[in-house]
Amino acid sequence: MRILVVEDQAIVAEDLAATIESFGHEVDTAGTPQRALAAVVAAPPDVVFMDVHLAAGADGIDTAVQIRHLYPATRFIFLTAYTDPETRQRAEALDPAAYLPKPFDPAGVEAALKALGEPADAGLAEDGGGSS
Amino acid sequence: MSVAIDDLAFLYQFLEAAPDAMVVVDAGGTIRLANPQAVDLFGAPLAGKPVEDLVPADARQRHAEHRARYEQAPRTRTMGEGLQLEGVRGNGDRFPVAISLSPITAGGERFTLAAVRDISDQRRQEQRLRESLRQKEVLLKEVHHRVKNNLQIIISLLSLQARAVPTLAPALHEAQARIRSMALVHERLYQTSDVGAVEVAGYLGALVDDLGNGLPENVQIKLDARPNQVDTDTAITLGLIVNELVSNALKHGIGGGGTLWLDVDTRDGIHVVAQDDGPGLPSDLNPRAGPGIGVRLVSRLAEQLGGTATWTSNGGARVEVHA
Repeated sequence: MRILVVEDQAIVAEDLAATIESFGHEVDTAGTPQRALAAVVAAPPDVVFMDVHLAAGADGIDTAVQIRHLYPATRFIFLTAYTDPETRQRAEALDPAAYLPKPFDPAGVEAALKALGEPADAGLAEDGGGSS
Repeated sequence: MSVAIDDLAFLYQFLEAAPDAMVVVDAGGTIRLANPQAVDLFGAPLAGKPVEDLVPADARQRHAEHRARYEQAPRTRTMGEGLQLEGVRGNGDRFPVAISLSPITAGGERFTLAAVRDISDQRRQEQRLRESLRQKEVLLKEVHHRVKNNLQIIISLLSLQARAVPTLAPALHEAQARIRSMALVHERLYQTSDVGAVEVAGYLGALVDDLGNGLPENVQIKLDARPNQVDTDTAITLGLIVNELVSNALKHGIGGGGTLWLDVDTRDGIHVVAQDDGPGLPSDLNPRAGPGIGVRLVSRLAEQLGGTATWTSNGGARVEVHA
C-alpha cells in the first residue's frame, strides 16, 4: 500500500516510516498539515498515519477531515499520545482503521496494516492488536 | 421538636439578634415575622406576604407542595437537602440560599421558623475551586502526554540505532521494552478517577499483553493480578519488575515452549511471584552479579520498593518479590 506518515517529530516519523517500510509498504512523510495536503495531492495514499497534535498547535484530526474531503477513500490510522476519550471521540467521526497509542509498538502497526489489507468484512483493527 | 414561646413579639426580640435572615411563617404560608436581616436580604418588607413570594416564580408551585407536606410532619431540618435552592429579591434578582426549618409554637399557634442564608460567596468560591481543579487536571494530563511523546522519541532513537547497528539490536530492543513499560503507566493514569493512581490489574494486564505479542502458541504467560490502585512510582517499579521477569523467562526459561505464571498482589505490601515450567535456574546464579542485567535489575527494584527478591528452582524457575 501507499502510506503517508503525518508526524511533526522527525525522529518518530523516521522510525515509523522505516517500520512501515519493513512490512513492505511504500511510505512518504509530512511534518505539517500543509505538507500533508501537498503530499496527498501529489500522490494520493491508501492510508494516512496521522498524529493528532502537530507542531504550532496544528490539529491532525482537522487535517484528516480536509484529506477525507479531497479523497473520500483515504483510510486513517491515528497514532498519538492523546488517548483521552474526548480526543478519541473526535477522531472516531472519521471512522479510523485504528487508533494507536504512543509509544507505538511495531507489532501493533503491523496488525493495523494487515487488518486494512484484509477484505472489508474482516473487521477493523483493534487498537494495535494489543499494543502499548 | 417544637419550641413553645409565649407570643411572637417576644420571639421577635430574639430574631433581631440572630446572625441570619429569619422569617416566621404560619400554617397558611403567610410570613408573620421577618427580622431586619431578612428584610435587608430580600430587599422588601416581608410581614404579611405569602412565603412563596421569596421563591422564584418557576419554583413557587413546588415550594407550596413541599410546604404542605412539611406542615403534616414538621421537624427541625435543612430545606431541600441536596438541591440548589434559590431565593428572589424584591427587585427580581435570584440568589442561592441555604435554609433551615424549625417548628415553633407561639401563643398556642404553630409556626415554622426559617433561617435563610445567602450563599452566593460560597457558590462563587466553589466555582473558583472547581475551575482551578479543572485547570490543574488539564495541565497534569498535558504533562503525561508530553512524557509519552518524549518516551516515544527515546524509543524511536533506539529503533534507529538498532537498524543502523544490527548487532546491538537485541540489547536496544530490551531497553525499548523497559521504556514502554514506563510509558504504559502514563497511559493508564487517565483511566482512574484519581489521576495520580494506577489500577494494577489493568496496567499489568496491558503490559503482559504487550510483552506476549507475537509469541508462539506453545509459549504462555498467565497473569493473576488482584485489582488495586497504587501510586505512579510504585506502578513504574512494579512494571519494570514484571517486564524483567517476563523477559528473563522468555530468554532463559520458556522461550522454546512452556508457561510463565505471574501472581501479583499489592493490597497489603507488594507480592510478586513468577513461576515457570522451564529448565530452572543455573546453580551458580548470583542475583547481585548477573549473568544478565535483568536479574540484577529485579534485585535492585525490589530493594527500591523496600523489599527483597529471591530465586529458586523447583521444577522450573521461581522468583519471588516481597515488599
